[in-house]
Amino acid sequence: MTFPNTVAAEIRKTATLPATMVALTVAVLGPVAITLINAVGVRAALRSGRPELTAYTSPVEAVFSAVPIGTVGAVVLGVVAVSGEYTANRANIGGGRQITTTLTATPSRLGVLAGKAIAVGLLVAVAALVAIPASLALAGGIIGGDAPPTPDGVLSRSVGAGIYWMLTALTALAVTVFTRNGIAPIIVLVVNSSLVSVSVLLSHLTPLARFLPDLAGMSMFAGDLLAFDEALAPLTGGVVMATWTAGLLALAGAVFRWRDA
Amino acid sequence: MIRAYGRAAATELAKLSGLPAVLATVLGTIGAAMVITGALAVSPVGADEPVAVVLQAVPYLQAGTISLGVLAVGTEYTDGQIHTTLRCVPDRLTVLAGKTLAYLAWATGTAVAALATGLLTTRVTLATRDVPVVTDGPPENIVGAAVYLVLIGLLGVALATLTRAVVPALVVTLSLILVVSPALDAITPHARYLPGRAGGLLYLPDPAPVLTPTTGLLVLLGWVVVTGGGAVAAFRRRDA
Repeated sequence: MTFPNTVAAEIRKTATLPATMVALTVAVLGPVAITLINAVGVRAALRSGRPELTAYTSPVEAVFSAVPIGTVGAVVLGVVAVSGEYTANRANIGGGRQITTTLTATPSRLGVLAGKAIAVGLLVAVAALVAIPASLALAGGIIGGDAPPTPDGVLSRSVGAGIYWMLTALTALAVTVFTRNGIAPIIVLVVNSSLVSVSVLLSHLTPLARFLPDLAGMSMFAGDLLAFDEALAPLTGGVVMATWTAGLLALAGAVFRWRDA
Repeated sequence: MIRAYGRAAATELAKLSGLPAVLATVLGTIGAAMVITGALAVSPVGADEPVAVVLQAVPYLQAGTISLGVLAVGTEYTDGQIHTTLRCVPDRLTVLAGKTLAYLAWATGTAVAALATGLLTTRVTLATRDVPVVTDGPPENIVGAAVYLVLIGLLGVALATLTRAVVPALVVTLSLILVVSPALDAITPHARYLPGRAGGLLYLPDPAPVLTPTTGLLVLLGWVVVTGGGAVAAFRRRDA
């Protein structure tokens, strides 16, 4: 099978999993819904003349504080793309696993993994392209004229949030290759995708924690929302997170090649 | 009736004890308690009160009891074990009651063990750093934390019964409590009625008290009863 065919196959497999529909819905509707609630709250606080009631008054912050719920969608997408291959069917229909079919059709293991990574990356990119502009438009529309002047760097932070989602999804994919089961990666990564992650906790302990993938990546979009003083510059943070992701994917490739399916 | 519930609970306890994922969750929760309280106790920001340090770790530890709750029900559906279960115990209410009792036993043990490990770790860490322990906070907060950890996991039991699968139930419960709830809390005071925030009053004091710990507990119980009631209705009505 040629590589483009492998990618097409992986896109079709991943996109038609029921869990993917749920993950994409969470990644798109989640941020939009939270933005809606945030923006209504901000507008109420501004109109009543008590902006100190809310943690921020800008429509932009209303959007970026909703990014973590989209991260959950990205995590689910990355995890199920791999764990779906290893889930055994019910015993009364043979108890088979899809991974055996996949590797029979495409014996190149690195090809399969690369195809999966591309499929997951594309799906998350689509979700981000819909969710973030929609949330920004919604927040701007609701808060409207009451809003303080727009801060700089909205575009770069939006792109950063999208990249953060993609890299998180790819990290989840790589970790699930190690565990071959979705439960542990889901627990760890969903817990850690909140803005008060375990990494924030570690940052009290050592400044090196800012080089952990999630804290480094959050600096791409979080701005002042990050409860953490010595954050990396957005670009550096992005590079650090991308390096972690590339490293984990390389390790996942080695493990996937080396182990029995 | 009571005997049927007792037997169902004994069965479910035996099933849970045989699940590697449950043992991994219990040990993982206790290990996480050790690591997180250790990290908090060595961090320079004002940690000289063991109880307060342990209470800060509770939001992370709740992932453990939520996972236990989800696993208790969700694993029945991964390979069709639910069919065997319902053949042995045809009364669906009894099955759910047994599962809930078995979960309560495991979760109580896990919560107590994790909190005790956390207290011990904090005391040892503070002692090795030669930090004089100021004073232990009121110990009822630790009891409140244990009650909270056990109750919040019941939401996992209910959602796993509704979704009939492990991963969706985990995603929904964990993201609602750990991601959505803090995001809403920054913006609207109504977020204090969400299960995590209301139940949190059992172990963390509220700077602007609207709910007391007792009303917070009642709000959390209300969430458990509503989702649990939905789960019971769905489990009784639906095909397995």
